[in-house]
Amino acid sequence: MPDIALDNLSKRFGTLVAVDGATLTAADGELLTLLGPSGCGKTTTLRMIAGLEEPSGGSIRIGDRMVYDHARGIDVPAEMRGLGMVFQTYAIWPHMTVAENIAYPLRMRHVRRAGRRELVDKMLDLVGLAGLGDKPSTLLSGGQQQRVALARALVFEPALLLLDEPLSNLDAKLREQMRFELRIMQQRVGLTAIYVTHDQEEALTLSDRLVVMNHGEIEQIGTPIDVYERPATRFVAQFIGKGNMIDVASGVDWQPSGARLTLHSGARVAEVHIPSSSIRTEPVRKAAATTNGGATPAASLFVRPEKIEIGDGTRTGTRSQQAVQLAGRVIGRAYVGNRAEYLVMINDATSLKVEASTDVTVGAGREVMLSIAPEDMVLYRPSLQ
Amino acid sequence: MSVLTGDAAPPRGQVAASFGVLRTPLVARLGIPPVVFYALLAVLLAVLVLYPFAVLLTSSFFTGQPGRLGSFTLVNYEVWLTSWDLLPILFNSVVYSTSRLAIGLFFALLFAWAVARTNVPFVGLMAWMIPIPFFIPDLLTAFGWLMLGNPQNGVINLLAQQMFGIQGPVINLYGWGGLIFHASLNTISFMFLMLVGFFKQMDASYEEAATTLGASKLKVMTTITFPMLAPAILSISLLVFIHGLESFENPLLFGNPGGVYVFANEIYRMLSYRHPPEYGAATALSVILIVVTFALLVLQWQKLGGRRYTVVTGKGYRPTRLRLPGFVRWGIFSLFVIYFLLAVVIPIGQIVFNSFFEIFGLYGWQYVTLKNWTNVLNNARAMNGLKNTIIYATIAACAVVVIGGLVGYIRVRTRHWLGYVLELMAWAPWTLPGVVMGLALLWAWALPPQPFNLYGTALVIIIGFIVKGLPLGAATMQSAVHQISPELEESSRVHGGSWLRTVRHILAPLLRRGAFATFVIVFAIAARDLTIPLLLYRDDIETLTVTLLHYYETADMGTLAATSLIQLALVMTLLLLDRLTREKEK
Repeated sequence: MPDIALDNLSKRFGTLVAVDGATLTAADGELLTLLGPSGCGKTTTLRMIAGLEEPSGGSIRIGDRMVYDHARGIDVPAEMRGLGMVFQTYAIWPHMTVAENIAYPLRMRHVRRAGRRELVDKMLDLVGLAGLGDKPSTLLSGGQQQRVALARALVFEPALLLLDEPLSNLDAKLREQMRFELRIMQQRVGLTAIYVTHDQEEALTLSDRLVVMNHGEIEQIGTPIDVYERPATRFVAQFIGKGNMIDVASGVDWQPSGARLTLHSGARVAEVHIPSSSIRTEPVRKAAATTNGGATPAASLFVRPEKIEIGDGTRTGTRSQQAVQLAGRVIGRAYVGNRAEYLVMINDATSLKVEASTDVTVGAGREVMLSIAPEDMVLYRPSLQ
Repeated sequence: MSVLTGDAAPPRGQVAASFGVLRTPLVARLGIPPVVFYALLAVLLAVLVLYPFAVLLTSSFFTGQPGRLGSFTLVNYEVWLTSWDLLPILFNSVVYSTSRLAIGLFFALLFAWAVARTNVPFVGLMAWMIPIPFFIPDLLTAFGWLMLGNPQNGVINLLAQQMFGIQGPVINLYGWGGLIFHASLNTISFMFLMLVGFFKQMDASYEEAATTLGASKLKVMTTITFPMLAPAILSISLLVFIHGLESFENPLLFGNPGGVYVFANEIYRMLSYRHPPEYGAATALSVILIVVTFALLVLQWQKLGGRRYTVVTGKGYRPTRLRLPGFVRWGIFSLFVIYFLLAVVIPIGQIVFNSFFEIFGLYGWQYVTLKNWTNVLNNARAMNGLKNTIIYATIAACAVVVIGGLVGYIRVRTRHWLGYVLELMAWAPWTLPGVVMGLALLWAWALPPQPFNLYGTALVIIIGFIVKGLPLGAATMQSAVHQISPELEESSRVHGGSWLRTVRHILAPLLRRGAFATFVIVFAIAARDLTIPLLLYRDDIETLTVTLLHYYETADMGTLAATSLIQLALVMTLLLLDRLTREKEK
């Protein structure tokens, strides 16, 4: 199975830049997910790989074959790229039976009738629809259509499998089941796959690596752990999972080894030292886009709710002396089954989301102490370049 | 998860060799960019649509006649714009259009609202029968009513004379009364057809919101339902008004004998009843009519452009029906019965009845005969007309399906600006009244030197039918393309189907239904059209409608009746076929 490489791929619709210089590679057998909010350019990128959208610049290489190169004027039409694709609406042709749908790519490749039959039956078996080949495709349920779409995309052993939000039209239960099926199937066949979704949970559980996109630009490429634990930009931090972003207006002391700053909580002043390995620098223009229109802060401190420990007013938790201690008052509490979510106000401008196990119970209105380990924090520094 | 257990991974190595090679599509090999095809189509449409427009406009500034342009002059317009002659035509047209619109709107709203939103009796029957008059050619019901209500020997007048000894006509359909009466019958049906969908599809939650806030059901109707539908109602009203300005059959048959002249029959009068025909004045009047129509359409766009279909969300759940008191329910139902009698049963009944009598007005048992039928079936002229109508309408309908399909496809699927140009050109003939179109085609195709001179050939009538059917045909094809998710085609492309094979295997089968519906619509429009063949025919290429008019003008009522029914059967057969295939699809 070949790998795929996009180099500086761009797409402009008039003055709108849908995809701005996307550069990425997916290794042989890898499942790479393009993740981002709607309008971030992920679907456009996928469609450009498929050949359904003509890029405005850059190149696409699949294996050792260049399928698009703006500079050299190469543009292989969609039907010559040899890819399999599962569409968001499945795009099961209503005027064909299940078997005819699956056999279509083979027919286009001039495979003889007997050979088609055999391969289609194998695929039906693989996706668990054995015996349904002669059924009109309009009589299938959503989940079955999904499987037919997958069978059709796999039957001719494509160079690459593209999936455009394939689970978004299924109900929640089925979606979860199909998510695992898809993953196992892709690994079994050993196929390189590019997967587009706006659902971060789907992305985190399915992918070998994620590509997080926003406003047509790639924000971060990394494994699910990378992206969740060490978000490269403010956008990624806020888009993936829950998080607290504490804007620090001024008073940050930048040093080569790290940064020092102070956090005020009630009467308490906490000294925070962030090592340079936890500092991320990003252009001001991007930082501004994620701070609701206010002035760009000197820096922003990020911490996940589950990384904050909550203790009642006297005890300060079990963490080491290194931990940052903050005082606050619980202003909201929600029970979420296996854990509880708190909203804790630490000063007039800032409240933090905190997640704790249910064996600690703190009522609303109580004074609490929060402690955060320095290694669990990431500091974002806007830069002018 | 059971799906994935077992050893079912596709055996890659062994079968790979059996996959054939994908071939580069022809178009790609030739290196022709698709825009070339768009441009070619645009040229075709320009020749069909814009060229006659342009010739008409040009010739309105010349003294000549079709075939001979003459010299430049402004006298054609001077005739109209410096005298009072235009005023009565304009006045009559506006009165005619307004009154048929007012009557049509009132009854159409009543029926549509009753059928969609109330517990009126026999709802299904009403919903099915009210649209029928629209599908019956105006010409036929007009003949039926004229047999009944013309002042000299109308059947009603004859009966009154025989039974009650009344001298003079009790009913006179010549002139204003008959004109507005008969035109309204068809308008009600058409407007009902357009409106009932809006009433049915309107999202009930808007109304339910008002109900929860304390509005009574009647209050909801007046403060929510009708105001929200106002843009749609206004839009349809303007359409009907414009159609009133250009309608021809009614003014010709009811207006002429009563001395009522509107644009259409005035233009026709100057071409056919004057010797020599006044081409200059007729052409100038046509241009004036186009300007008026176009101004109205621009008005419609400006006023309603942004908020046309906003209320229709199509969620598809049934709003509760308003419970009307008994006398209102049955009152509305009686109105429907009366309407259907007037619009269909009485006029068509009269024609059927008359087709079995040799002499018009002499209805006694001893005069019953099948002679009219045998005459018609052996009549070369009627059979020739029938044959021509079928051939021309079929060719035109096929052409519109293809052209409309291409225009719709380019418009819906590509972002190319030529798509908008094509759509606009396909829609443009909508503003061209039939008579004007006939005149324009006369100028356009009788003027050029051989071999482009098509006057007197079947081709010019077919071109006329294509142009006439194009606006509705292209719109229908466009909506058919619109209903096909682009992913169905993209899926074919990605999985190895070239453009051409995608069209063949995916697009064409999926469009079959819409294409047939378009064919039926255009065929029906062409088969019932009188204006285009009337100005363009020559003996052996005359269509059935022209034959019918000939029988009417020579007062050959028996033959007229039988031929009318053949015409009716033709249109109805097709509609039935359309209905049947639709049922089968379900």
